[in-house]
Amino acid sequence: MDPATLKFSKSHEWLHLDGEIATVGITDFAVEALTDLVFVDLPEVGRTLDAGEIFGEVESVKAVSDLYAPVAGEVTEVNTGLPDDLDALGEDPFGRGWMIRVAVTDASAADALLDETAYREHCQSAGH
Amino acid sequence: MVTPSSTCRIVETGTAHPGRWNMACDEWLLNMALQSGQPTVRVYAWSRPTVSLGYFQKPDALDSNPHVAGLDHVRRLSGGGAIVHHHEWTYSCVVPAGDPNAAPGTDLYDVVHRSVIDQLATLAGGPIAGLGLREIADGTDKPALCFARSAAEDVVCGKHKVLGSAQRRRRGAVLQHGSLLLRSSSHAPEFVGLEDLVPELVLPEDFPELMARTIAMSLGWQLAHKPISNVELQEIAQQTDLQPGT
Repeated sequence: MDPATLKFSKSHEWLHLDGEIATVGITDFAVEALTDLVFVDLPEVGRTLDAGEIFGEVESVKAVSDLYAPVAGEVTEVNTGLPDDLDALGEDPFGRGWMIRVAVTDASAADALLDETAYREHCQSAGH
Repeated sequence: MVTPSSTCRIVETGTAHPGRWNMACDEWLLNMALQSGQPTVRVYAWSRPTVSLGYFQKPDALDSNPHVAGLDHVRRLSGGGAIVHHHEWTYSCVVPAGDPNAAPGTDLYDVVHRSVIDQLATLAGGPIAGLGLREIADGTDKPALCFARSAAEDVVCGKHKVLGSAQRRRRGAVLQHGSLLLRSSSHAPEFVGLEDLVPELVLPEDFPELMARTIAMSLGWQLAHKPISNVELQEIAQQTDLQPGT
């Protein structure tokens, strides 16, 4: 997916909205900062998420980090192959590295997220 | 996000507690940092030999290891391999969100580990031969036990790993804890500790306090001692009830 078409959270998740279905993953910046990912744990299909709620966890360099839902909704699909193909996160974070698909509660909530330009600025200004 | 404080609270340093309490206290300190921006450091021991599993390790990860049979076990919030906590000092430091030390990457390991190396050199009256950050890491092999693993962030003495750390990152804050191995344990006889390797090094009784102060100052924090209050102990007790393990 073209990052220019995506929305971003300040906690480094990306979101692609197709109607009422949002595809969610973590950004190339996050993957690079995490380095050497060894585990990812994703939610079950059917789980409902609030915006900002933890939906999964990743481990890298002995650091476990939480993943946060950028919008509220119900998980409709999980990239079940990702835990066994973590290279996908580094090689194609906006494509093969997708994590979950969510039937969003309110699609307009995505408007509050950052566009790519604002997200890149956030990464720089936050000293990341 | 709350404004991070630059004054570090040093808590429960030099004391020994059961494993579940230790893990509950560290998680409680992380949650406190998220609520109040308070950095903390504690250096502690374990009231009996205990295995802590890395967050993603399976409960049966050490089932084939006869040396740890029957020991208490807990699950850490942090990643990495299992640790047999016996003859060691364990540290935890919590960096609040917004503190520069919480930036992504491995700098926090580096800063804390260098500070411990320097502290030990001060106590020894000069650099300790062979003690330093690992120069060449082989991260491809992942044995179950942390001290059998090799990472660039480790502190080694010669070829022996004596200090390893791991992290939990939550909403911009970081809990980092690590184990400084002092002596070999009958529950993990394959590993030797700092006092085995450097017998002339005698750590003073107040070493945990020195270590806590050194870590806090290396992170640019001022120091404040504030014991855990009775109300806080109750909160930790509630957290303890939620901890997996025995």
